[in-house]
Amino acid sequence: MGSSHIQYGINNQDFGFEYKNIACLADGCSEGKHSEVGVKIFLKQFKQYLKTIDTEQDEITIEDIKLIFENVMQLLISSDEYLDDMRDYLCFTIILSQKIKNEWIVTVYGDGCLILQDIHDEFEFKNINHSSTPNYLVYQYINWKDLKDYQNEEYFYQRYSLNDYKNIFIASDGLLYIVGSIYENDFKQLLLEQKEGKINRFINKLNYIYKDGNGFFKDDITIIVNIEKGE
Amino acid sequence: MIIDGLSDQNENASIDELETEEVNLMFLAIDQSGSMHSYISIMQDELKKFKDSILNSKEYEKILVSRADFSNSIKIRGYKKIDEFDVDYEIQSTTCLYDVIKEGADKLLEYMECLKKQGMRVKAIFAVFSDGCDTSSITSISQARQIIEKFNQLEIVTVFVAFGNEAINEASQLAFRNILKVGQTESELRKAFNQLSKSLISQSKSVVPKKDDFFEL
Repeated sequence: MGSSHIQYGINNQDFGFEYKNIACLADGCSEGKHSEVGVKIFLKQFKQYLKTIDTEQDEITIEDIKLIFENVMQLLISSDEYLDDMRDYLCFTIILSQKIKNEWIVTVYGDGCLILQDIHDEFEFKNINHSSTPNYLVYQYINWKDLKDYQNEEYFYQRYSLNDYKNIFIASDGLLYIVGSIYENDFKQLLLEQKEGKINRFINKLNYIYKDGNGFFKDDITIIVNIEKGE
Repeated sequence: MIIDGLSDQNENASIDELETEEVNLMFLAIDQSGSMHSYISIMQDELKKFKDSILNSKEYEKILVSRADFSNSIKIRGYKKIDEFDVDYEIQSTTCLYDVIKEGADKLLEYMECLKKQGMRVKAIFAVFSDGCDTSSITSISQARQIIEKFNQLEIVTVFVAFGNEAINEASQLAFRNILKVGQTESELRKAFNQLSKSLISQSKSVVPKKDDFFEL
């Protein structure tokens, strides 16, 4: 949990899951009072949806994501406060990674971080922030005049060959604090080991060490490390 | 007063032995005073069952137990995984309950701080099993009570398995929040340890410490 969230009394708004060959995480906007609610409901419903299809054979599409998102909208948005509800519940990044056939397919609405592990075990941190501010999926459903820049279908979509990349980890953008820091190499070593407990401890430890400076990681972090743990 | 095995950090499980982010520490002080002489074999049985119960649970990787024996001396072992839990039981004579509370408390707080600095999320239980009152401590009852009260504030779960009426009174005076009242019979003793292991496992599953409802399953 990000130190600024602790400081300002905001819940952890970052969550994720792994299901078979799919990793999915959602990162709530801290300006949304209840974005963790939208995040959790979306992830739960999306996971339920994944159980109804063959994720090893069928590629997850934007339409699949939108289908679930629209279900969540119907659940959470009241007609008389719909703009406030959109902002408070539905402003969140969605990051999806699917390992299918000979590829990793990554889709991002909003912002985030990809960690690309190539076949030589070299790591690259990729900052996904393709607009000056995150292009949340909810903006496709709002006619705010000052959001005119976001009304095109701008999202990140990339396919990575398994011949080139051994692993693609997805993470919320809070992890980017580590890039370029003195801890980056230690973190990469932990990624090689893929031990969830040790990675979590490493992040906790940095926040503990830096607690007098309000923590090393200001924002919440979710990292999905080990796809295909299975159900 | 002989105090063995005190505060050498090397006695506790090292961070490298721990795979998880979370850990549940239990300090378990066990009365070995002479008044327990009728229950030696049951205690040996029940300590083994306590160990096996935790070892067979899904939570065992996240549980570390420090066993402390007290009578006319104190022996405090380090926080170890449950497969290293010593199930032997023997008796001596007196009861230095307040001293074991003091020494155990220092060791627990020290190890908790060490783990937190390494990024661990730590929950802790401070538990005592006793059949009677203190008879030989240097530490006073008010000092021991202050420790338990401080633990209650720190959200360390304080637990007293009170074997008999004398122990029940003692536990209340010491401000333990979770007191399991156990009749002085063999069957009650068996139930008590069964309850203790189940409660420890339940606490390990809980996101937050079960400060006032440790024995509620």
